[in-house]
Amino acid sequence: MEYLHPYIPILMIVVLAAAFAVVTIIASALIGPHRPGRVKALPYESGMVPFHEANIRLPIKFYVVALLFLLFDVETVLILTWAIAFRAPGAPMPGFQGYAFLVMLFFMIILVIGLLYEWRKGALKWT
Amino acid sequence: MDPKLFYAQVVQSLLLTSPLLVLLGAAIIVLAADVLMPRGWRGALPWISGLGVAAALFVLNGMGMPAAPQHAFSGALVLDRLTFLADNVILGMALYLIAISPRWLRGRLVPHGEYYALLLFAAMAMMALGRSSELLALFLNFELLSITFYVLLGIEKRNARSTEAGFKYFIVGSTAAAFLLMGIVFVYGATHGQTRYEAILKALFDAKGAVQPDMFALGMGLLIVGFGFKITLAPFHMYAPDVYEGGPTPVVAALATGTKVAGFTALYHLVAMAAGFKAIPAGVWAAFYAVVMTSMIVGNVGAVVQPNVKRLLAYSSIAHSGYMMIPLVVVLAKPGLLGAAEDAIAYYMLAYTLMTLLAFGVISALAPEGEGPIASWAGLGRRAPLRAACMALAMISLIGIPPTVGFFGKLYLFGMAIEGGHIWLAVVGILASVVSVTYYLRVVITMYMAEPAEGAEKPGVMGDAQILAVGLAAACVFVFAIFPWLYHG
Repeated sequence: MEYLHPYIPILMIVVLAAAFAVVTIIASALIGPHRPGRVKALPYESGMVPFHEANIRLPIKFYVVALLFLLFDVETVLILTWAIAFRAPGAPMPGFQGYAFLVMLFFMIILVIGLLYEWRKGALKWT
Repeated sequence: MDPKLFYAQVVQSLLLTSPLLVLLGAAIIVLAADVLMPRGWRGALPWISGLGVAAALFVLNGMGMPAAPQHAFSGALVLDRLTFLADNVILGMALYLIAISPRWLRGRLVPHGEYYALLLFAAMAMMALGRSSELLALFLNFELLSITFYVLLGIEKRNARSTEAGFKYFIVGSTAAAFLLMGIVFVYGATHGQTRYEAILKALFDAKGAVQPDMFALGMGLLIVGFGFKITLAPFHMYAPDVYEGGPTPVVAALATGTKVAGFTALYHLVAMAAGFKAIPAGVWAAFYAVVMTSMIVGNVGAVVQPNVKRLLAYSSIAHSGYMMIPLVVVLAKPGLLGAAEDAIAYYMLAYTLMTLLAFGVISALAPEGEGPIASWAGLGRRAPLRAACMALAMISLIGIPPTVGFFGKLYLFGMAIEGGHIWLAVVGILASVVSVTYYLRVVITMYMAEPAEGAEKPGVMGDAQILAVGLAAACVFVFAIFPWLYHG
């Protein structure tokens, strides 16, 4: 079990952090003043006065758009890193840029087919 | 690195994985055809999918069975004898399911394009999972397969049971993925940062002995748990009956056969990597042994009381997973038997796939009545003689009565147990098979000897493709029993 030794300080930090949190909460409950009022019991809305229930029904379309956004957002992350590395000095071998370009092209083709598919399926239509 | 060598390797990797790429292309074409074709042409979708699978089979067999393991993508995927055979079984399964699906889908609210495309994606993921020879590739392919099945199982959106099946599989599958990932982390840590199986093997048997044995054992144990969910081994089987009962029948057939073929191929490669390592006998071996025993017992005893054929087949598949694990337990301690274990697993995955597909084919041909309680199968021997005969054949083969594939498959497996010196595995396996006679024959007896209920109608006629597929599977149950060399040479 000697390979666990380096993790003992981490364990100590975890224990300390948990103990600090628990002790603080208990101490403030024990010694802090308690003067509850109507305004204090309101949910905190960054200073706004809440005027209706927070649980309202949202149209399901928002979820579809959020999902599609997430999908393309993650792909943007991949493409951006690829684009930065593309012109970076020190390519591993001659012709590597062309190879990297072909690989990304393959990825983009699949991406575009996916976009066309959801367009034709009507996932991009709001009404 | 030499550029010429690098590009040659890229091309070679693409060639080795070409059957998967063909399936990927076919799936994309199916999706595109679904949105671009006029609505009346939907009948073409199974034909396009079938052609794609046939093309993949053609490409795969054009390469031929590799004499030595061939690696693709810097050792992430491997094509060897076992994966070649597994790929053939998986593609055959895909063709069978595409043949029986159109009739089953008739009148159901299922999006056809997505259904066929996902079937192709699932077949591709199965092949990729079986071929994995690197821990991260293993995890990715494991997830790819899981995600396709989350959707496929719940694809009958208006059917609450189907949604339930998809959701349950989703919850259990994510848990399994977590275990698998944790196992990968421990193996990676124990071997000081190796993920390729070849490199891990080298590190394990390195004379300097830098590998942490208990950490490696823990990793392997967690990997078994992850795989246990996927191939329904006994303590991790809880979801199987509900998922099998509620899921769309052809999808459940794929889950019961192809997923296990892929899972066992992947597990075999993992075990072959670790077989003979000194830390194995202590912890991991005991875990394997316990899992095999409980699977055989729980599967067979649980099936006895099942009121529904699909639930019964779920428990039966748990039991058969237990049998199929026997060679893996044996070789963990005796790496000298690796070749024999590969043969036994390769043959049993074909045998199990054939008889299970036959049973599910009959169920889907009797839908929706056949998907209900076993009592609704009463009198089928007269009402639908061909389907009853095929179901009886499937049951007899699942029991393991000669001259069917089930008999020879079990013969190899239990032979392995005795050869490896684990008499108890063989004894429990054979006793469990005796128990299995009761529930398999219960189906046969209900079909031939019970009187049908009042007002039971003749089930609808089968489609041509259905008759062809089910008939071929029934013939293969005998053909591969008598001429096994047709399969593995």
